[in-house]
Amino acid sequence: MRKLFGLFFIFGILFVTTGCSDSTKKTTQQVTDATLEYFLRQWGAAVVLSDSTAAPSQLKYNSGETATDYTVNSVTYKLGSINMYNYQLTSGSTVYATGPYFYSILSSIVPALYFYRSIQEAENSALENSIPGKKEITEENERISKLPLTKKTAEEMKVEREIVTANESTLPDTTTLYSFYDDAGKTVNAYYLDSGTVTSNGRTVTVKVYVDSTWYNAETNAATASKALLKKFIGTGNNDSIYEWVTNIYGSEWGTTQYTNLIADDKTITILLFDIDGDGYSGSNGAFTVGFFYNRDNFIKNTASSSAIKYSNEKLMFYIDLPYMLKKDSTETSWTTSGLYPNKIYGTLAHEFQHMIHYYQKNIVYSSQSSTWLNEMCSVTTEDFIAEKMGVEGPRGIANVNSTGSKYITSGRLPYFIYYNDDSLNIWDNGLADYSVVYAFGAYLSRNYGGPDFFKKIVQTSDTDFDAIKNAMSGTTDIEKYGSKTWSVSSKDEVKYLSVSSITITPQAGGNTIYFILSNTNTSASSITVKGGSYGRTEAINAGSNTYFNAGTITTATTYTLSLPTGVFATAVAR
Amino acid sequence: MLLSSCFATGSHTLTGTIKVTGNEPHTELIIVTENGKKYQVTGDKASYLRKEKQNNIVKLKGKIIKEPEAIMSGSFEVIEIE
Repeated sequence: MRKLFGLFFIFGILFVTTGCSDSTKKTTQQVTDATLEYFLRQWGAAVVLSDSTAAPSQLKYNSGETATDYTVNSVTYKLGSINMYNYQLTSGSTVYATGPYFYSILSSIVPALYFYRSIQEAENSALENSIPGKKEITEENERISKLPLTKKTAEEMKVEREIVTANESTLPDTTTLYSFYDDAGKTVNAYYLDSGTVTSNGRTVTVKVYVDSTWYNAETNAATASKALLKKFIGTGNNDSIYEWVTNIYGSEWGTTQYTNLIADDKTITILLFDIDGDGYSGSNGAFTVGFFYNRDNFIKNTASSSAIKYSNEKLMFYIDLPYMLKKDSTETSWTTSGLYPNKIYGTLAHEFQHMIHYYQKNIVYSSQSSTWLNEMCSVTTEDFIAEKMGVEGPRGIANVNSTGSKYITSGRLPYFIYYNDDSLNIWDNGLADYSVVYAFGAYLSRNYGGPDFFKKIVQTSDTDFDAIKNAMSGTTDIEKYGSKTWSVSSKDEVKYLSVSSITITPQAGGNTIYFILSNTNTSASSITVKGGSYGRTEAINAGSNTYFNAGTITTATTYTLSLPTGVFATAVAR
Repeated sequence: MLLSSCFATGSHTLTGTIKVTGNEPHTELIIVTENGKKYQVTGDKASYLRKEKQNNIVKLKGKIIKEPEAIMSGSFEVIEIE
């Protein structure tokens, strides 16, 4: 577990260099390729500068208190600003981080004690949490791709349809049990509760809601919750639904495909509410699987298969945790459909809907495949895109979209990010830190490169991962690398993308606090040392990550040396 | 002698990049070979590869259980990581 460090500010002289200043003329080098280095360095600077509304372009999290509008196909999405310094990570009375976590170099030089602290250590804490996917990584990857594509027709495959089409005029139907497979292949018996239709961009779909029969009979609010969820998903026909908002960005969730073992496009979406994992109201160690989309169900069931496809429900469908939706927060006098937990479920549905669309658009239409980190980034950022429309806090953790919030915000995804801000961006461990990091990155991209429309381009392409992000960009400014060994700070919040390993920084008259962001573009962890005079720090830094250092406040010229392996880059910010 | 029998007919070597794909909670650990083929990686060493080798180029010895087809990954059971 990371130790809790305060932010140490030393006013006065840190040390005085005895070496000669390098009189080499400042050189710059254009970086023309939007690489991992390009993204990590600018993103890191944006995190450090997030309390400023005057950060330069491509470094902006914070445009002030008024939200920024982004329009896609005549639909406007509002994105609120983010000030990372307004967030705090707590557990009970313990404060783990206030604002972005910085390693201080002002301790004595110590060897790296350990590599990355264990995510599992964090998740064994008492923090209440909820994640859209399962907490534990499944040991066995289920195979959904064993069936040959063209050898069999649907008639030749044995198909057992276990869902009886109901007469919708008699809903809710609590006399018939409809069977579904959960993701482990266990049977869930449900009532067909409600249905409705929604139209977006000329496509009309029917959405059907089923509720676990046991929970329906036992819980008074189960029916109300389910109906509210349907209403949020399909709206009233006035562009007021999750379905319309999300398809407007990313396109359709399904269509006719060329593959014989994929389900037909019957323009129906199913939502099944039940107790995911059978863990009731408490979750497992406080963690819940709140909901998911499983592309297994997009395949035609084959009972002869040993893969997960033998349990396909042959539907476009979502699985939603009913107990979680029925929870009441301690601050609420009674449960309502607009309470804390129902609102989290609505966000989860939007999150899972992006996965559903992502699978169709990326895998089927564009015959490609995203890494999980990018897919999850798109989903958490989608929650951000429509949070204001849904009237929820969303991953930003602030209900008012025209506000950066008040110290200190402890909800949403960013409290975890400020503490785990050095977690890898593109290595996926399915921890809460991973979701927080990809959201912070997605929030950065959306606020600097064009909002929802930028994410549409990331999804609707055969490009993958950073190539998809890079090729969605247009009109960007390259970063300039700073090759001089001297830097006289001319303005507050100045940023230098260093290409030197030693630099003497002369502060402004009143002094500056110096921060370093070390960006590791390697695929494995690296060890780095940042020294300033007799102080310094050695740390192990994660692959594909930024690690943030506070190098102290200086009032006189100070020389720093950076021991960086190949693939690790330093960015300096003077504040 | 024993070693050579471990790599008798039916053993394969794949070189490629380790990735985690899909969405939670049903992600897949895959290897993407240099010619773009994708195989789901299984076997005792899969969890190590997932934990330590994401985005790394690796050379794996094992058995091809199934070749990839169109949108569907193949399957490769890892026996040894070189």
